[in-house]
Amino acid sequence: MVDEAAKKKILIIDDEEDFTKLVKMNLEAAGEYEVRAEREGIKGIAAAKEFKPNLIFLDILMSDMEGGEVAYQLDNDPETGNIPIVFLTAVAKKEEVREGKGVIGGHPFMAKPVTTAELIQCIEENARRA
Amino acid sequence: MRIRIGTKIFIALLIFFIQISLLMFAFFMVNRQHEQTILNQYRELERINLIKDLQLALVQVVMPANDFLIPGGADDESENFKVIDSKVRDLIEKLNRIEFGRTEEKELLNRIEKKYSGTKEIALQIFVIPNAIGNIESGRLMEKMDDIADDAARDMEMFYEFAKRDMEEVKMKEHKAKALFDIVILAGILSNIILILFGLFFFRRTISLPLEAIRNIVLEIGRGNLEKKVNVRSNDEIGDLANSFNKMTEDLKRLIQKEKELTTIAEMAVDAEKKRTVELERTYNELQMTQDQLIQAEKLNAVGLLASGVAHEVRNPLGIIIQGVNYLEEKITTKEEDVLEVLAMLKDSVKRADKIINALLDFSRAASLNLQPEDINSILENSLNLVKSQLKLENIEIVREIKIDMPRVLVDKNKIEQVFINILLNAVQAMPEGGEIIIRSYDKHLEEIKNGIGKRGEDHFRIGEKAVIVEFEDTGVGISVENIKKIFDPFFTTKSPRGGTGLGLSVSRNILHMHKGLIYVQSQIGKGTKITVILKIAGGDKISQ
Repeated sequence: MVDEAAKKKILIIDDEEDFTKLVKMNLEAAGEYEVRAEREGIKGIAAAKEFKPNLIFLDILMSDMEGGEVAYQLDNDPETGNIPIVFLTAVAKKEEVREGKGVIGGHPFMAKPVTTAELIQCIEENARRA
Repeated sequence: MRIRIGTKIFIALLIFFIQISLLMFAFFMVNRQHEQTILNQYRELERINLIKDLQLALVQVVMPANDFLIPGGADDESENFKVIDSKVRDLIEKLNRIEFGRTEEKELLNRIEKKYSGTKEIALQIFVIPNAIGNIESGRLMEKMDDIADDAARDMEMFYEFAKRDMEEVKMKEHKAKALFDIVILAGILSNIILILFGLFFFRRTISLPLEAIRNIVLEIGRGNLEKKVNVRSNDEIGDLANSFNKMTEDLKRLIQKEKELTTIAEMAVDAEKKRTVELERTYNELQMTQDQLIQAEKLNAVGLLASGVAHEVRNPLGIIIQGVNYLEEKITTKEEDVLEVLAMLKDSVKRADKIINALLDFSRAASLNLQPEDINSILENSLNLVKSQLKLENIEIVREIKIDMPRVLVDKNKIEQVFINILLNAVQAMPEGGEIIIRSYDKHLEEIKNGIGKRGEDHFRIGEKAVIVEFEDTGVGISVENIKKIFDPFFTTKSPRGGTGLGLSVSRNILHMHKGLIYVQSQIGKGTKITVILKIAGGDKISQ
């Protein structure tokens, strides 16, 4: 078991509550991650500043604010600018991700629906070392 | 100055009449004069005759006296003498009665008369001398008488000369008068001719020529030549007529011009109208095409939006499911096959659903169909298989009325599977208390004219064309009359927000239309719904993409 301090902090910003709940449950069950979930972009930005995660999973199509906009704000804020962001998108296909086209606006993206295994792999590849 | 034709004619006739009158008057006068001269001539002639007679008589007058004095002379010489005397006196009287041109003639006659009287006296004296013969006195008287008689004779000669001269004069006058008469007649004839000629000329000029000119103009107008004009010479009715003809010609010209212009304008208008119509038609057609394209684009756009909307709406729950399955996989330690199978099925379903989304995204990006000849029944079975657990869960019974030996259909297998799954899921959703779905498949020659089956270009099928038909008939709640119109609309759903996205039928229809197939819905509230899918047989019409 990894201790709390060594756990990677993951922030997931997505308006689908059940999804974020499950992700949190699954990732935390893996034992290596501390997960915080936010359902709104604005709250997500505030959480990023406060929580200072190692990686942010960011949904693109959200109800209050577009993921792109959130990413923009996060990128341009020195407090959060260097936190790696991974988009979660429903409108891409997994083939596109595999074919190496998985970058949107400088940030990699993953195609929903994602399995826990895929999430973990992504985190290990992209998370900023604390 | 304006003189009416009538007046002109009247004046002309008047002139002529005056001329004739003058002529006749002249004629009359000259004639009278001539007559007069002839009468004068007669008179002179008479006078001359009288004078001659008198001369003779005066010569004879001495004879009785002579004879009386001649021995053997008759005794009745005084009687003879009386006879002659009366004759002479008669003659002289007559001559006196005749008018004298000269006073000398009168004097002369008086002298003659006197001398005669002297003679007579003497003669009478002689007659009363007894034994006059040989008598000296008688002889002497006789001489005297002879002298007087000779005197008288000389006077008579002069008288005669005068008379002759007068006669000559009168004759000359008569000739003159006759000449004048002739002149007058000639002049009359000439002036008549001249006047008549003038009259003709005048008539021709004022009436005939203008009328002729007018007639010519009318002929010219009839030939279409509107440039000629009548030369208006006179200020009268004919002139008016000519003027009005000219004016009419002008008006006619103008009217024709206007008519030409109007015709031109009308022609131009007709042309413009034609052009406009053609343009309108073209524009309309373009509009139609554009509209169709817009609708298509809108559809595609809608589908695009649809696709992303669907993708989003579906993939989120899918994500949850996967995450849930992942969670369960970790938490469930049992080796129970059923459980593992269920988990596997869930994962499979998610993959399956994801595939659908992909397909939809493909579709929205105008991706092509992968058409192959397929056995529709096996596709049906696949679809049924994939929803099997759902069916079992909801207590839905499947009744198959499948025709086995059927021609293959030209379809994209995955996509048709999606359609069938969608239809089946809808049916399941419509039977929350459980129920039955009758699935029929058969091939048939299409009979009825329906939307999409007919003669029109846009119809997918022709009447009599053979096609494969799959029917899904459920015993569900049915669809209301209002909703039936909307069921193919994207995002229309009667399911709860978590239940369905409302995209299934709309996507299904699009998929089928891309296959040049058809889908129909019949439903009755409380009884159930029947969905009919019609597909093209492989080897039939090519589906153009």
